[in-house]
Amino acid sequence: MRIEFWNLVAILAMAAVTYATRAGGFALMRWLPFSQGAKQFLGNVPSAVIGALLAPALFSGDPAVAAGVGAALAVRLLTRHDLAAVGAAMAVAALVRASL
Amino acid sequence: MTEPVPFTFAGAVAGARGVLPAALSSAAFGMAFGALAGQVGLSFAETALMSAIVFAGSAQYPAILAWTFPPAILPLALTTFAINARHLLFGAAIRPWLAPLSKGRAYLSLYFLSDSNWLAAMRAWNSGATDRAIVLGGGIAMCIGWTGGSIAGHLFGSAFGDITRFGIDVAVPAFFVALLVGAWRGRADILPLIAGGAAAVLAERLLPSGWQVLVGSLAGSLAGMLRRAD
Repeated sequence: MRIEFWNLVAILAMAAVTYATRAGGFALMRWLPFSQGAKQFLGNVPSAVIGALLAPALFSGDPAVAAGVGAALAVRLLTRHDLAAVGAAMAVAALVRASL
Repeated sequence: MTEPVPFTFAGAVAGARGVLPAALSSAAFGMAFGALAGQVGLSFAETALMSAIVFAGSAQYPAILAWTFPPAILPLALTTFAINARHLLFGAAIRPWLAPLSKGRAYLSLYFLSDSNWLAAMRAWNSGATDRAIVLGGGIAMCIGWTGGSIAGHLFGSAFGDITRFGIDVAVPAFFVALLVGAWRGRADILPLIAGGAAAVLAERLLPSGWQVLVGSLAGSLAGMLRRAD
């Protein structure tokens, strides 16, 4: 169980910074007003985050990702099942890659 | 703020089940990460500790690729902050739902806040769920997948070799699409989705890497807010 001192310091620093981001937004909103504007802003965060996470993957130039995400969308709309959508996406992406 | 709200074991289990597809793919990504960390020269204990207490794959990957001996602590901390700053928005957005919990339960749940369990919890909240342990249970499942995968990868190497084989890398975006469909509010979601995506793609090309998710999330949320204000 070897742990180098400076590696430990770096890992603890990364963990502290990360926990600060996880707890910080929650903690700060205690002091900031929950105005109508803030509510509208925060209500849009989930769809904006999904767009920000998806778009770089979709536009990475890998057709397998786009095909997989398209399959996930279709299967999720048809079956209303998350796991089925993810399975279909993986299968389609693997197929596209195998055939290229 | 002391109104009692449900926080049960059953809720935690439901949270874990809700993120199962993401936890499984996180385990596969963890294996690739653990194998890489071993090649870079981090010990087994260091790799396991990092995944358990940082628990942020998208920040750990670039960190391990830039690792030096001794590590450059300030640049590592800054990059980690950039990539994880999106959590600030997550915590702010979920505050009204978690605020009635005791401080201990709330801040323990926040330790496990990640993309998947936060999105799943926001969806559950929107559809009327009351059990707040969904966040904790989903987060623990993600952390077990990620840390367990990292440990296995360091010990045995990645079972999958290249992560793109079997389309494992597509599992996470596919899960986000599934969550998007499940939480769809109608036309109000279109503008933040597209503005968030466009800003993220732009930021990826113009800014140092790591900032694109935060920039996209801010831009998309702002666009949605301004449109409502008209």
